[in-house]
Amino acid sequence: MQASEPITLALQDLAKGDAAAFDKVMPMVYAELRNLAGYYLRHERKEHTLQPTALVHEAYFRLVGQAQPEYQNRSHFLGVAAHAMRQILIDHARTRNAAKRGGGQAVFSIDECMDAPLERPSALIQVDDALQALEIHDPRKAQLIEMRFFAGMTAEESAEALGLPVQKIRAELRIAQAWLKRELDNRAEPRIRDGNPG
Amino acid sequence: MSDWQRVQQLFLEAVDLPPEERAGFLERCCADNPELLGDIASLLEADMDSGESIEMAVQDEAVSLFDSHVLIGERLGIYRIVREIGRGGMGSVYLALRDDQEYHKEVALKIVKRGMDTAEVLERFRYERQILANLEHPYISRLFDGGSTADGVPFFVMEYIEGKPVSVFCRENALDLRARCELFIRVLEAVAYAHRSLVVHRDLKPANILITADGTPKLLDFGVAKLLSGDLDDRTLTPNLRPFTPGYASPEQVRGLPITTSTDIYSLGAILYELLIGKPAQPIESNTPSEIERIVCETEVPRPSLQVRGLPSDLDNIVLMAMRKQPERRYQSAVQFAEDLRRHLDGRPVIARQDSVRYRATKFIVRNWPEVAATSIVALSMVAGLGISLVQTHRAETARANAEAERVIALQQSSRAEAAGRSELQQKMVADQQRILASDQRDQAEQQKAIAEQRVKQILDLAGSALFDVHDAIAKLPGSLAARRTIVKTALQYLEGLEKQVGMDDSMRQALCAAYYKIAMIQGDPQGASLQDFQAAETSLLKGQTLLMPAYNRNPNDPSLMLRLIETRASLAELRYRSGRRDEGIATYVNLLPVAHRLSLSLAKDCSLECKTQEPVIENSLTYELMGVDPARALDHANRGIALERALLAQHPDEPILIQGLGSLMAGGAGAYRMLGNLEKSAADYRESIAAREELLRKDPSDTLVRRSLMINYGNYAALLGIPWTPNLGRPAEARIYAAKCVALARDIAAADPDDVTARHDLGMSLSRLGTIDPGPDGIADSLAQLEESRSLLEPIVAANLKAAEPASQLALVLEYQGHRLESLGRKAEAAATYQKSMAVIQAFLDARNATVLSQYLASEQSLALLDASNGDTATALDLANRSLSDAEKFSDQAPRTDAQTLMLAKAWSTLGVTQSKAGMTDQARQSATKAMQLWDAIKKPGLLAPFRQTMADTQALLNPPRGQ
Repeated sequence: MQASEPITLALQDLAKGDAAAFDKVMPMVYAELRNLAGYYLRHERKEHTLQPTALVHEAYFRLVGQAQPEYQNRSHFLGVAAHAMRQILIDHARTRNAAKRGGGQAVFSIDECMDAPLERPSALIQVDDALQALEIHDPRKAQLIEMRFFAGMTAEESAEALGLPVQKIRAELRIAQAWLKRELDNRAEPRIRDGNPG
Repeated sequence: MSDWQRVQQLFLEAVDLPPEERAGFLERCCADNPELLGDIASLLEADMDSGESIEMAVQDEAVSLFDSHVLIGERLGIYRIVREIGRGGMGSVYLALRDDQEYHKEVALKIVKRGMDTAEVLERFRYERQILANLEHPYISRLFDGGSTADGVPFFVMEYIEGKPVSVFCRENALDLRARCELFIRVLEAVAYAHRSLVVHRDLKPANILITADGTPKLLDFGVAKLLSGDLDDRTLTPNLRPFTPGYASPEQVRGLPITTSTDIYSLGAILYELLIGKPAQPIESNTPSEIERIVCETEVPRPSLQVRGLPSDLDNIVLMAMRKQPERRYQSAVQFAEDLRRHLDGRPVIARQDSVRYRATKFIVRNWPEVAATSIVALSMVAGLGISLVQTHRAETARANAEAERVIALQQSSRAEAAGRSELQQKMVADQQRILASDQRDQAEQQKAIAEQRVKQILDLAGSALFDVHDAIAKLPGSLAARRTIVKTALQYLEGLEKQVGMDDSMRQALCAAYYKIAMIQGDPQGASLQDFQAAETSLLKGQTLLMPAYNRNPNDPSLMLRLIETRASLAELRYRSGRRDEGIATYVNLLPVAHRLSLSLAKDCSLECKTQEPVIENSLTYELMGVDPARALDHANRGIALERALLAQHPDEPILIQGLGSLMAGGAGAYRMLGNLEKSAADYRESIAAREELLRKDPSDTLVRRSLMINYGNYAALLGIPWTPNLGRPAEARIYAAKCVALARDIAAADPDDVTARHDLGMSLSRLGTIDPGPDGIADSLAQLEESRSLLEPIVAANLKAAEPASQLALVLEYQGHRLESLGRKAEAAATYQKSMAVIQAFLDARNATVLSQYLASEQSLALLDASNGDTATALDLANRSLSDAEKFSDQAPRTDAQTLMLAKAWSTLGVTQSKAGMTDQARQSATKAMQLWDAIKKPGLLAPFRQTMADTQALLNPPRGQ
């Protein structure tokens, strides 16, 4: 299939260790994820809760899987898709957050502030802030988190995508999760202190 | 090995150990590096997180993202969805196009969040539809339609408005205060319209008040909150679904209590607050209901002017009145709210006032309303008001009846459907249904009655305030007396008519009592401008009290009834006191104390400051009224009041009302101490009182009440420090400083309104104090000039108040001291003429048995005697001195004598002695001097003798004549 050819090639480059190939795959995956989400929800939303991980796998089948029955590039694809999904979601969260602060949009909503305090600022922004900190500290661990939570990848899939032993992935993921948890807790703490000056 | 790698390695080793061994392991490995140990320990603590919170964050965001795109391009009935324009806790709003064959029109389409009960929301929509459809106003966005999506989610179709939230609009266009108020008045007009149609918004906030590019306000979502609330008829409580916005929601709303138009008034107050200072009145960060409730229901909203310097205090009062915790104490309507803002903009006095401090406008900008027209305006507004209220009641009934009919149909339909399968239950269900309907109708009848009564009460209040306004506006116009009397007469006739027509339930009694109180204040406010018909005022107050008592006796613990009773009786007490029935007045006040005390205790939680301040306010009145007759008792009341104010201040620090109250009581205590001869304690209290008032004036320089209180404080403190005609501390230099401060403030106040007689009187009094302090050798000319200015101010006031002893006595004092200064300058003839003038001014009041008047008269007479004696006119001098003594004796013949009478007699004997000595009658002089010294010896309070030091020395000299002279 012609449509899937460029992405298949790019994924192969990625599997060979060509980091630049990531930037070629990313926009394609991103666009597919968006289309897919829109289509999915328009036509089949009844009694169906949309999972981002399900969406990522669906995108793989639509972009690559039909042309490549063998799964060799699947984990590479998922790695890229995890990043794309994170990007999509965090863009949305940040735009939403900016809008809430009155960040210059032309039209204000009818119930922009209805239940405002009950609708907290997106928790994902805090996750993303902590994840960025982890990226600076240890990029691979950040990537593992991304794979696990934004594409639902297993340790085996991550090991394959990164070309590392599963044991090592498991250990690193454990460290990464503990590190992230600690970071999130630390970031939440100042808010608790607010109520208790002195 | 880098630190991070070491951390990881040790972490992985530690997690493999049983938890109880980990601490020991870490201590062994990191003995040299506590930082590393801490790092790993905290990671271990965070270990084994399920990652659920991250999963949830991802999932939530995904739902939010994908849901908003799902409907774009879809059709809902005749509407095609174009794009999302907003979302919130209750759902999303889309821009949609109505694109049936007929026409294309942009609308806003609000889709309720999944999970809300569609059938119920839609039933409510049908129920409210007619009312909402009739809500047609240029400033209100219309609600066109409602329906449900294919998968059963309810939606509403509204007029699409392009605009910005009012707060953003004001900020971006940098509107000044006036423009903000003007804009807000238009918002209030729209709300008033909706309220007249019996629609309460329930969720007013800046985001629901859009301003279009041309500056037109558009209120969104009227009635929508109710549709979504499950709160069908304002009687049921549904704590689970109450859409409101913390920060704008009223106390009754966050508590789930019934919602009324007052709920919107509160939200509007919060919005105005935000427009005035640029940020929310009570920012609420918390998500927990109990915390929100605590902030909204219990935390006092700070005065806006504390946050923005120079904000007029009227605006403070307007905003805080709208945001009062108890709904019934807010503005009664959006109309009243708007009128008050308008009054502020026009520079007229506003009806909003600080809790419990009687607002007393010292200046009016009197517009030239033709008197006759003014009278008929009042009469018309009352009649028209009553008409409107009846029409509204009728409309309310019609709307309710329509809604009820729809509800009945809906109920019958659903019951039919249910009963279809189980015919054996049908009979029972119909019976149940009828029972429910019957009880609904009963409730509704009661509600309608309540609404009708509420309207009549509102009219009463409005009529009362209109009456006040018109009266105040014309009060200062020359020749308005007849018109003012007509106003009162009309109002009384109106009230009497109302009493006959309307059923006398308790709330009506309360409203009528309030109306009679207002009329009484116009007839004869004991402290303010009025018709001075005190007897009529007392009659009105008694009438109000008679009307109130049955209600009060039924509910003696109802705070609003207690307040009404206190208001009425306190004015009665004041009137009685001021009309010469001092004991009666004091007794009336004393009898009120238990009521006020009970009021302060009765409502621990809901009790506003007004409830708690009544008791110290009465203590304050008693302090001042007892001061002249029983300073020890006065001091007692002052100290009790001070203790109460201090306790309240501990709970509400910096509350201006309390600081002002404390200042007043401290000044009262200072006065009582002075009367009791304890001058040092008196001085200490005055200083505290002054400090309190100076602080208040710094915070709000525009507060005229505080300004005047401080001026009086300065004057009294100056007197205590060194004004010779009263017990003093003998510190004239300091006294002059405070007297000068007093004069400066008095000048400011008088300059603000040249027509204000009270202000001119105050300035005259201030100057008399400054002028009578011992000026020192270099200050005589200044002193004379001050006294001369004082005289020029007081003379016209005395001429205009021929029956008032007090101003005459003040003028006599000024003249006496002018005489002394003239004597010092050697202008003896002028001095003699001035003393004579001083005596002439108060001669008419001499038989009034008024000690102040008498001692002033004698002082002037004796001054003249001494002047004549030093001029060598001993015959005249002796004649005057003897007359002075016989007058003093005549007014001191009742035993036991007061200190004042003893001092008066001593001074008379001393003057006679000095005069006799000048006439060469040495023996008689010695006898007179002995008498004087004996009398002075009887005075036990040294402070009282201070003014007589020079006289006593002169008298003593008569007893020990220098040898060889």
